[in-house]
Amino acid sequence: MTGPRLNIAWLYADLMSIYGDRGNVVCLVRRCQWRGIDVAVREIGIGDELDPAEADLLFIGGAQDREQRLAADDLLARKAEPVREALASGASALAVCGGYQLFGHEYRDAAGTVLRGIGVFDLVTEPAAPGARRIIGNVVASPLLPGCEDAPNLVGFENHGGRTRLSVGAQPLGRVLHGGGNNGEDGFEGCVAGRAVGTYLHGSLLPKNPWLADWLLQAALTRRHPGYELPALDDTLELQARESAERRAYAAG
Amino acid sequence: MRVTLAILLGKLVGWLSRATGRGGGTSLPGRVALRVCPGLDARLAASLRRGVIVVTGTNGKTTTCKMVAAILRRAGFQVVRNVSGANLRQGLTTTLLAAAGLGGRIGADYALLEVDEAAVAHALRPLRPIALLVSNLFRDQLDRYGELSTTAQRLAESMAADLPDDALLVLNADDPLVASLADMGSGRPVFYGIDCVARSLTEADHASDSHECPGCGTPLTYQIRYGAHLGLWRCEGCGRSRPSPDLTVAEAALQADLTERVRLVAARADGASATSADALEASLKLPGLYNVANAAAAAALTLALGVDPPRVREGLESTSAAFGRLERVGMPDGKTAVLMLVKNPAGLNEVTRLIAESGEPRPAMIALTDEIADGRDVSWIWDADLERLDGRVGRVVVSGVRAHDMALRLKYAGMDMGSVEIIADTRAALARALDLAPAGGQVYVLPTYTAMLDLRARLHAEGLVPAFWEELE
Ligand SMILES: [Zn+2]
Repeated sequence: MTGPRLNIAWLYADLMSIYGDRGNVVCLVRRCQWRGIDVAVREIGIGDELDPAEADLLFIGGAQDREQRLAADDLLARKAEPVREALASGASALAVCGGYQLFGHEYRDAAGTVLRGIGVFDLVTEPAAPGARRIIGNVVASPLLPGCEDAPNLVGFENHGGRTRLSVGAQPLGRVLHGGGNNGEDGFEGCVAGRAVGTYLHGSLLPKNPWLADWLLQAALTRRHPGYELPALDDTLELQARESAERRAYAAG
Repeated sequence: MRVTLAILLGKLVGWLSRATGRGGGTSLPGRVALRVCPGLDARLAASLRRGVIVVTGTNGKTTTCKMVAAILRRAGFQVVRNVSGANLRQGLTTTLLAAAGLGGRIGADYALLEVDEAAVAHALRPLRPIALLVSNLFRDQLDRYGELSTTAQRLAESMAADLPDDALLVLNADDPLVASLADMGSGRPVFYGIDCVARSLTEADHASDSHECPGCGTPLTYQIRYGAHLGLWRCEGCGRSRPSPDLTVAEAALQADLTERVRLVAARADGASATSADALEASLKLPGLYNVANAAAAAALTLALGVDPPRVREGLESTSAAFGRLERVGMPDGKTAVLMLVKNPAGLNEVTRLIAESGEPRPAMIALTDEIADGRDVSWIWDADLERLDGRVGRVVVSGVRAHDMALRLKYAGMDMGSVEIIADTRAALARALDLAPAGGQVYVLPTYTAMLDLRARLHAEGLVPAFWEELE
């Protein structure tokens, strides 16, 4: 008998990987391996085809401006349709920082360049007002992800110039308790659309927020294995690290 | 008169801040002196018998400067150096005025200045150096400096504006971003590089920045890769490739006693193939491929300045580790703590690679902190290949205010958590790691910047290490 199978598609692993984004993939892979899940990671770069039937869990990270522009063109031209198709057929997704922005409708940078996104999330990102600073620092946010409102607070680190604004009716990922969040004004952090999660939190995000890692895995595994329930893991160290990061956020800013 | 007054006041402020014990006075004297005499730094630089040398790059600056200073002194030159970290204009001026007489002249041949890659304009504009060395450009504390391409861009702009055309420009050929600085057209480029297939990476290294051709953006291909984006690179898009080095490391072999045997070969100016007469062999007290690169940088610079090869060899061989970079500390119990500063993924990879290459699994203490000087964001530990430590390091004690983050990183790197302990206090953590080593054994100590300052201050109080300002010269 073979264990359940999960394919992770890591979009632009070489171009869009910054601030420890790799740690999110490492986390997903390990949490599968510890449970005997047969996990595979495929890196999908510029010009590569994304097979929506193969990809159960999509991950896209952050980038510097130049790399983000390169990826944005390819994402829109070659990946928009397969990403939507994968999500429509039950895949889950995590989009962080620059990837989060590109999964919205539009990203305008400080230089005035407009990058069209693929519209998974109902949001737009605009540049900071002249003279306003990048939003940088530790973040604590209480979860608003439907069904997970009682989960431990999300902790992470944010570093973004863009201000992201959700459309009326779009579902935020969390309510900011400490830090800036989407735009530093409305108190929301991230966005959720079905099984897709977008966020500014890196840090890496998933190792210290294991419930979110498991939410993404559970959603993705259900696609190929209906009724499959993720076995629990010993997350003592993860939760200690989460608590220490939360304390540090309030102490260090 | 104004010059004399500025120097006098600057020296007085420096003396006062030392006498009152309020820090080493690394920037205040310069600030005061520049207020009194705005062009003082340029004037002092111009008084040097030979001129200013600036060393920049993300990693290895301090070590490279130590090697260059040792070589130049063996060759009979007098050299003035700055304290690492004091590299903004006021700090550089403090260094120069401390060495100057009241008449406004420095009685030395060279001022050798280590400058952060984001601060090079502070040195180039007023000081008009005769040589600029750029070692490498890695992702380092993005939350503080902004993004890597911005740093490279600013460095290039500063060079274009202020690097004299006849200045030596010593560049690492193995770093595509650094090598492309030769295209700015300022300075006389001299390249150094490493040609040791035996030391290339076997697995992909994940702390890679600048994967793309700096000229056209095409992903680079590598014939040999030494870690991160360093290696024998080539762009299939525009055809640019790693420049042929003027000085190459033909061999580098790590010895069991943690020394490094290197063979450096200078290219013939007429293009003829090099002979044994062009080779220089040396034994470095500083192991690891990154130190081999530092040695190549120092040799390329000093040979280009006209120093005789035997003096270059003596200087390289006499150099021991800079403050905390690979410092062997003899402990009262007869064991040795090997201190290795880690502050970014590339630096941490260099250290984990050295640990993996050195064979015998020894205990380690790793301290992770997130003060302003370290960078508040600890995400970078996920970009480093800690997987490499699995099975090649003994028991690990993690410490520092972000100890749990590091413990978690080790868990996801596949380490057996039964062999990882968390002890918040760095000195207590070191004591525990030493307990775990056999009699006469060594432990690896990997602290971030402020953890290193803290630990070293306490070891200094115990009389085990000199204070860093005493050690510099
Ligand atoms: Zn190219």
